[in-house]
Amino acid sequence: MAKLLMKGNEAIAEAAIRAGAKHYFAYPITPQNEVSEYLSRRMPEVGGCFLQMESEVAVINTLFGAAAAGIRAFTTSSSPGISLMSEGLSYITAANLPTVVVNMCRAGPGLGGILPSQGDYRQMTKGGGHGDYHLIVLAPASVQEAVELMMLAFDLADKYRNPVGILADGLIGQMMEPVDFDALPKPTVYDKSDWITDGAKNREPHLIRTLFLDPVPGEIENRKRAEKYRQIEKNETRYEIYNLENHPKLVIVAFGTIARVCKTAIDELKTMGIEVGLFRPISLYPFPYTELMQVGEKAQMLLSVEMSNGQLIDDVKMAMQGKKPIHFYGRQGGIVPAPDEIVEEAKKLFNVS
Amino acid sequence: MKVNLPTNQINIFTGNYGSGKTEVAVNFAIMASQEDLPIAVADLDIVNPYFRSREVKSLLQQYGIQVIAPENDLHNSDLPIILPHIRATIENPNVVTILDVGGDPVGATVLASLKPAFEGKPYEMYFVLNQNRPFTSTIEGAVQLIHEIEQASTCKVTAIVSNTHLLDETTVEMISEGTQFAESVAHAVNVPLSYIVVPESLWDKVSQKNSLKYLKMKRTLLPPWKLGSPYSTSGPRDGFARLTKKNIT
Repeated sequence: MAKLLMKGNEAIAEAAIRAGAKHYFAYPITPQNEVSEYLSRRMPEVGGCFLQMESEVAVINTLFGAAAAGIRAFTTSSSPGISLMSEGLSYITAANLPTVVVNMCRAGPGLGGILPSQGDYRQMTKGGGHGDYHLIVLAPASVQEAVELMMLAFDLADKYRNPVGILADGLIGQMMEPVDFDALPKPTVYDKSDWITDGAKNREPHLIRTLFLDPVPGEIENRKRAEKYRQIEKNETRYEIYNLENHPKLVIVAFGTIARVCKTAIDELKTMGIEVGLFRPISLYPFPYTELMQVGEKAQMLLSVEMSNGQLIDDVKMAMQGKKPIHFYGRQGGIVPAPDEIVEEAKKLFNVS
Repeated sequence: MKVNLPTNQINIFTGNYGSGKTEVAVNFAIMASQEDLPIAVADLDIVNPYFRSREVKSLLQQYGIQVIAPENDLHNSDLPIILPHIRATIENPNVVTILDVGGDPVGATVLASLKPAFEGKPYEMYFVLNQNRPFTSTIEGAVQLIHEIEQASTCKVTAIVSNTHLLDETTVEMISEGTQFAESVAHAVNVPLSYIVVPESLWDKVSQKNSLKYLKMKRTLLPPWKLGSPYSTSGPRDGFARLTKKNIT
């Protein structure tokens, strides 16, 4: 099949189908409604089910059930909707269940606005729900990459029995780009027979629970999970680098859509004789701390560019351990920084006018 | 090329979600404006939250084109707002009205409420068709969508616009295949194929442009990382990058 022209939201929906997702539960919110629109038509074609729930709280708990039954299931929402799901995400993680949650981030806090934002970086990477847990968080910068990461998300969720979040800003959901589904790897099928709760026919029942009143098994569960996170941190960091060949003095750190704006700015700066590099984390948890340190060490300074008030920058600081000055440029409220703003910011850091 | 529109004609752009209705409507308006026709573009998109004709309001105004769309706070809303002066514009016999309608039957529903305003007047309801879109890649799929849009809008599709493309990856062969496909769809629903959209970058490479059917497309709703995007500070800002630094400091 040739390439298709798709909206990010549609492409994410189709990628989930290709990954073998059979259940999709959701509650409407802009800017991700095209996912539901698409799947209301597409899910029945593959014998799957799209159920619109009465709220995000119902969505996340229905996902909990589907995941416990061993079904590839997922949801999509946007910032305030994810907030409502936070309690359920903590439960799903505590129960060691795989699921995928897409956050097509809009401007916040509160109701905010429907325009793109990255203000949910902390919400997605540092929890949002209670307790010692992490989502694996992946951040696409194009529609094609959204498709690839969506398929990867289902595999990682099953592999580690942990929920995976996709953090994309509203632009990824709304923009249209060519997508190629042909070259994608086939989804991995994981054997779940030793833990799923699917009826207990001819076998002992399995128990999925999150309540541990006795502190000893409670701690053991948490330690097992901590070990899982060490494995994830070791094996699953992903990132992209750009224009580092000429040893730039300045390295920009940015993820998602903004990384593309930064690339345009970097190309512009090159024409002015100013070399600037880019480090784009693709996995936000696990964050590529070591890799960023290796890149950052060779530069004189770093610049975190975000559609938020400085959240990614905390991880940049953690990576650099105080060794280099780290600057910040961000826009909020749904405003996307333009390439020329970043050019100006870089010129300022180089003391060029 | 010339559009040769009667000034009182209502030009309605419908189609599949993401078929390129807005870009076609915007380019159509700019083309018509070069014939010194008084033009109004009404953004009737009640479905899409981003990439709507209102985002290029300043650009259209530079061509003397009136843009009717929710303003101020409501500019960036996704509410089903139908401004009262849309009806007044439709009823004005001295203005070429271009209606940029939201995608799919759900977007076309809005036309049903406006129909009394243009009934009895000459109108063209274009169905913008891109073969590379998921649900309009077959003749059956396209025909089904045309019928669904007609049902929702209570208006009849009167012409097809061939807009088969893959953004920067569009080829001359793709346009040619898309044209044949559009002809088959047009034949199936018994309406003419009125326009064939050709991107500006391929304009010189497409032969047989001697007919009036070819519409040169200059993309206006570029994403923010492309230079010349309406969302970048170098261009007029109408969309989600509307505020310049000066505005907020």
